[in-house]
Amino acid sequence: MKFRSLFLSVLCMVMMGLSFSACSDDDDDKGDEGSVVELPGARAFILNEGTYEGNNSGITFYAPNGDADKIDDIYHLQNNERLGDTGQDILNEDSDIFVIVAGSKRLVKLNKSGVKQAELSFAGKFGDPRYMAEEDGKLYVTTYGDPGYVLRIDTKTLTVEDSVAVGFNPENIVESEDKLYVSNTEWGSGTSVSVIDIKTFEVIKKIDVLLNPNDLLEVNDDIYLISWGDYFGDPAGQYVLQCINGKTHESASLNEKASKMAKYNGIIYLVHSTGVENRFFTYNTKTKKFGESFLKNTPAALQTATVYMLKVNPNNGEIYIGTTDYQSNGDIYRFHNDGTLIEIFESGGINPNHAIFFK
Amino acid sequence: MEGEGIALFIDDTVQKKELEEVTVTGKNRPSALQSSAPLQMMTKEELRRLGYQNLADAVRRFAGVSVKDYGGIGGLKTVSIRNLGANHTAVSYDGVVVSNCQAGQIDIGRFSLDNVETLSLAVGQENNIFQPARMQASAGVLSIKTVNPTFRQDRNYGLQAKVKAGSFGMINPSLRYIQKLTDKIRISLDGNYLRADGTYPFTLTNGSLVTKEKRYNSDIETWHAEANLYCRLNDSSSLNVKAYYFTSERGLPGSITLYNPEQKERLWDQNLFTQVHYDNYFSARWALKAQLKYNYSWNKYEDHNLKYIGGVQTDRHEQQEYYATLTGLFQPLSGLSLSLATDVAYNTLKSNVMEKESPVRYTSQSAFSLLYNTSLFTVQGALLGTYVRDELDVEEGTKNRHRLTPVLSMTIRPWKNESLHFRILYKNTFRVPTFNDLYYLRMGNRDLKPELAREYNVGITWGGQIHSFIDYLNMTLDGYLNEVEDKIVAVPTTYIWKMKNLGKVRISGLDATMATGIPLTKDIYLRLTGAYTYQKAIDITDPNAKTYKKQIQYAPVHSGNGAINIEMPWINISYTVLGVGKRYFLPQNIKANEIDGYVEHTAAVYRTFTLKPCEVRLQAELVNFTNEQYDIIKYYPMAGRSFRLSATINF
Repeated sequence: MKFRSLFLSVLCMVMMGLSFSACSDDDDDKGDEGSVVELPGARAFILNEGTYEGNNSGITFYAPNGDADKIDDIYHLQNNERLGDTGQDILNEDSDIFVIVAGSKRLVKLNKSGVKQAELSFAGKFGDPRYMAEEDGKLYVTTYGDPGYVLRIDTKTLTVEDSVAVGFNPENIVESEDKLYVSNTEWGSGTSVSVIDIKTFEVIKKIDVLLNPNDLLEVNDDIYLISWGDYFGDPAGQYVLQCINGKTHESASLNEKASKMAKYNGIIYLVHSTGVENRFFTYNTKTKKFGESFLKNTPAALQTATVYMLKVNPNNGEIYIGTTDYQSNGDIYRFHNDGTLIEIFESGGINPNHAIFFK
Repeated sequence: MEGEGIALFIDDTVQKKELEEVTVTGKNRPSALQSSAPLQMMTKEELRRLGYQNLADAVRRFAGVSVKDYGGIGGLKTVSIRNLGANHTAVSYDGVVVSNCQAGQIDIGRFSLDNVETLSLAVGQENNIFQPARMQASAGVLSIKTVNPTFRQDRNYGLQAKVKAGSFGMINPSLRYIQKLTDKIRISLDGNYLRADGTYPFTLTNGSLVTKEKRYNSDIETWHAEANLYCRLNDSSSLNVKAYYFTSERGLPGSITLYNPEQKERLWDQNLFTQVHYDNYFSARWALKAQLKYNYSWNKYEDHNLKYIGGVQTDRHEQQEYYATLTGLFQPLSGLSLSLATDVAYNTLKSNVMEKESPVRYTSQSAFSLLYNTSLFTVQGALLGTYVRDELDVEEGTKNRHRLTPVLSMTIRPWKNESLHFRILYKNTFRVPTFNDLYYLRMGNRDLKPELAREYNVGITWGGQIHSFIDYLNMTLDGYLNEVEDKIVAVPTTYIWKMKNLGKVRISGLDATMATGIPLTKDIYLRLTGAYTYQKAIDITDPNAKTYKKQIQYAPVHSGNGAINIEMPWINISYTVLGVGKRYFLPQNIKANEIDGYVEHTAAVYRTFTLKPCEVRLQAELVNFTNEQYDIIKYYPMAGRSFRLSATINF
């Protein structure tokens, strides 16, 4: 009797376990429909921009837990077609991935295993799509032109719902507190960041910033900006880090130079990569203080290689640094949040510029 | 003896041609076999027989040569000898090197094949030392020589009308008129018009998807006119004057971008030049040659894209050149000749995309050459001095670049009765940075040094009859090693690309050619030619790079071609085949960067007959008849199967 009840309870537990795992399998499978390969739950995707007019942008799958092999150009594997020319931006939301392929003038929606769900072509209608931000089921995409536009695109249908004109050739865009911030590069001569009210979808303000605003990052409702300056002018004015106060919209230089930035837990990870050498450092947004290098024992090759990507896995703080020589496949250096090196691997394509992560 | 010696240096092909008309063509080409530098040649008859559509098609058949062809009738076509790069290959038109200080490379697509008498390609340097310094300044020369007027029977005029038509809406009428004004003065006038829609189908491979597409915005319209005056001043001297005009408008279909069909680039070109040639063979010992040239070229490029201010980008370039050359030839002893050539050039550019609005360049080149010729061997040596002065802005003053470069070559013919030659060549050349390299907006770098090229060549040539059944058999085999140093390349420096002297390439290879003629019956004549090139062209710049010791972009390891021609009394048939092995379109030698090899087959038939008082020639060509789909430059697809018909009437 005792054995029988024990047996039943064990059986029950096994059943529960099975049903539990079945249930969790269901969760994992959401977003894996149509995949020709089995991918583990924890996954990273690296966007390789490719070369100009090379039609060789691609997405590399990487398993951070080491439970699957890296797959170069998983987009091709899953969809039998190429991603296109100049993979510019990628983001993930829930179990979807959105990719902007600038040269091919397309926006592609993928499930989280890289299988295409929908796509939108900008050809013949808008300038090249550049960067995007997501908020409440809508994508906000910048497009080149004079003026450039921010398009509001529904994430489910990928239809363009509305557009608002900003400066000439806008690049990056971030969302903060129901507002969008857009850097108006004006091909190197711009000095403003446009602020768009998401509710009215109108430009409510143009913030004066340093010459050639480009990279944007939102941390604790403030906006951090890197202005590239005059490419051909005084190096002192190049790659200057600024902070735009989220409330007052005042912009102030932080008097440091950086070419890439990423955030984790209120810390901004920064690199100033000159093509000759790299300086890695941090900025604490709470104490407003700069810190030393966030890497321990930086590999020699990483000290001199051009850094094309700096991303932090928001789930665990691991740091991914991508390097390029602009002609052969890039390398990715992966570090623990404490700065110790985990692994170096080839990015599977040329010019790795973004990485996204699933838990 | 002495007179014979000097005749060696005279432009023999043209002169002989007038004497012997037909016999020279296609038979033994002693000069090519005896040359101490690899020399390949095609005559007018061969060019016609084999049905080549344009100059680029013909040049592709030379061993060791690669033609970068961006596809379509109007696509840019540049030639590079042994992968040294287009900037190291000179193109000469009737004895004067065509220059392009702005871009360096010459688009050979613009030259018509219609009036070409001979097309020759010399790697290193020909044994003709009686030529301008500029002809000796490059790693190799592609020479285009146009037809001298020849008159039928006792006529003192001639008229040739020709019309070509073919696939993709191509129509190309041309007219040539020649007149003998006096015993010593002849003129020729040529006019040539070409237009094509250029819309051709191609197969696009996108991953595993294969689709049929059409190449749009590939239209072209060109006009070409040329006038020549030939004066024989007396028994020893002559004066030739040429005026040339070319204008074109074309769509540039650009690179295929997946998912994005927008193609809105256009190019307008204008080129006007006039050149004067004077030579005088004073005595058996002394000869003199002088040439003058004025060149004007203009082009406008337009690209429509929303990313530009106002939605359009317009680039304008206007170049002018004044060029003069003087060459003296002296033969103090039998077999020994010396020459001194001095060239000066003044080049200007006006452009809206240069940091410097109107760059100016003065060039002075002098070559001292020596040739010693016995029945056993030929030795040639030359030293070329180049001085280039670029005028910069007032505060920067001038920038001077100068260099001495040698060439040394030798041919040995060990047995008098055997046409077997061993040859060896060393040549050192360089290319000066172009105005684009120096001044192009944002990318240009005024501190660039010249890019150096070194060539070493050893070869064997043999010509003869192995059997009485065979009319002639010529074979050449050359092995070579080239090095390019201080290569001028665009180097990225965080977000900007800048021109720098960075890069080293080593090219080792083997070129083999053969040609034979066999009279099958009294009336049927068979000709076979073949060429094969093996080439390792590797990047040896940076041992830590993923591209180190890897084959450079677009250099095939294997390439070759062959042609069969059968001449029969009622019709003539030709078949040519060209094969190129796999290449890489990016420097890293990985599967993703591979471009497939290709084989292209072309057939031509023609017939010449007399319809008194006219001579008529009808020709039909089927190009790429297996409809091979291939790219020479990745994402610039070449046309598949196409046809062409032509009719030529000589009055």
